[in-house]
Amino acid sequence: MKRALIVSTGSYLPGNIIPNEDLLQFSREAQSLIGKKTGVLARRHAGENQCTSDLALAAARTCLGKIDFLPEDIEGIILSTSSPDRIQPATATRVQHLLGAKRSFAFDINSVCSGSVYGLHLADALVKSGQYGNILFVAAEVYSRFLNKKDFSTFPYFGDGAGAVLLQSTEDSSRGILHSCLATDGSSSETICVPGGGTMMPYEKITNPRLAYFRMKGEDVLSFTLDKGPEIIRQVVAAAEINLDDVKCFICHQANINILHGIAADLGVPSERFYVNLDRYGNTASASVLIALDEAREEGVIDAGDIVVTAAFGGGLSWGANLIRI
Amino acid sequence: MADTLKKLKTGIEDLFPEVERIVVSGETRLGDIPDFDSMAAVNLQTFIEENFKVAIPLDLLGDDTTLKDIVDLIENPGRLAAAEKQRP
Repeated sequence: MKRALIVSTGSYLPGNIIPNEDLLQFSREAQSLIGKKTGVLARRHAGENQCTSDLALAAARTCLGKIDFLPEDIEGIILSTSSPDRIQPATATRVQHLLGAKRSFAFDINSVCSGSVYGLHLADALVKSGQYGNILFVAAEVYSRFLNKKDFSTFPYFGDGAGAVLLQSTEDSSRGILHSCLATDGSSSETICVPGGGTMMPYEKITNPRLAYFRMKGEDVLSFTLDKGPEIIRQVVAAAEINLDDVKCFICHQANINILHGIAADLGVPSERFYVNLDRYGNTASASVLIALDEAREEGVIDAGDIVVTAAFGGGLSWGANLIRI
Repeated sequence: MADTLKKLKTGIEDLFPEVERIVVSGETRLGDIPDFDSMAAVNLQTFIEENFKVAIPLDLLGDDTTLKDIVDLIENPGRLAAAEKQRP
């Protein structure tokens, strides 16, 4: 049986570091709440001339460069983003062109913050089908462009960044993406959204500029993630017929340290086995899991043969998990 | 009083687009405003500081605070100072 093995990872974070203390639009009292409520101490923002595909391209180049993989050998590119360069065409097409991946198809997916686990499952399925020998999956986000700088319920918690993984076909059935579980509850689509700018509310019908910005109902998101996070992790672990103790590292969407601790407590797993980088980058939406996966590999937190669970949750509402043997 | 309340109401209508579902008056509690929570309180605090040059601590912008209470704090620095002294 064919498996999709992660043969390389990469990430890119813009150099513009913004600590909480630099968010001068908020009072000192409010600034001190950011770290307490979420664990976020700083975030990165893309440069003025950088767009989502630029971040994706940098992460993809790092990923390919680590194993000297030639762009012209890529067979497919999937890009997850909920902050695309433009409404159309797909952001992935610019990445394909600038990367020089001439043989590759390229398209976008948007499952908001869950895009990482959705994309991993999709790339895995394409490789397992036997039709493609490899897929480059990239997740890139530039949320700073559509956050309201004065909105304390969103602006301080998000950052820009990109991650990439190269999946390659292997006959070794013991390694690769072993199982994935995805779920959606479209009845809660208003919980996390950008109301204006699409066909439901075209630009000319936006009556309040705030409707063109990202918004979320923080308390609803918190209860959703604490409910569905542990559930989907248990589900993917059970489907693979292993135990939580077999998992070396849990790489979850980096939204809030209290969510990660809450999921760990629910599962009865020490929180030290949950990878954390949200203190440095904030919530980078669908890019967060791939950035964390790359850093965990680079830091030696996970190594070949280790079992890793990736899990993410976000707008839709959507959530999911992958169980991977590195 | 009337001008301050009017300006405050305009700000609240801008901060909370969903507020059009209710009638906003001086008696309106912040907790009555759709989507008002502790995060939104910071947005209101920022709006007040920018527009009235008055820094109201977050614990004085709770669910039970009315718009009239806020107008009082904006227009009477002495009351704001007294309220701050009573904070735990």
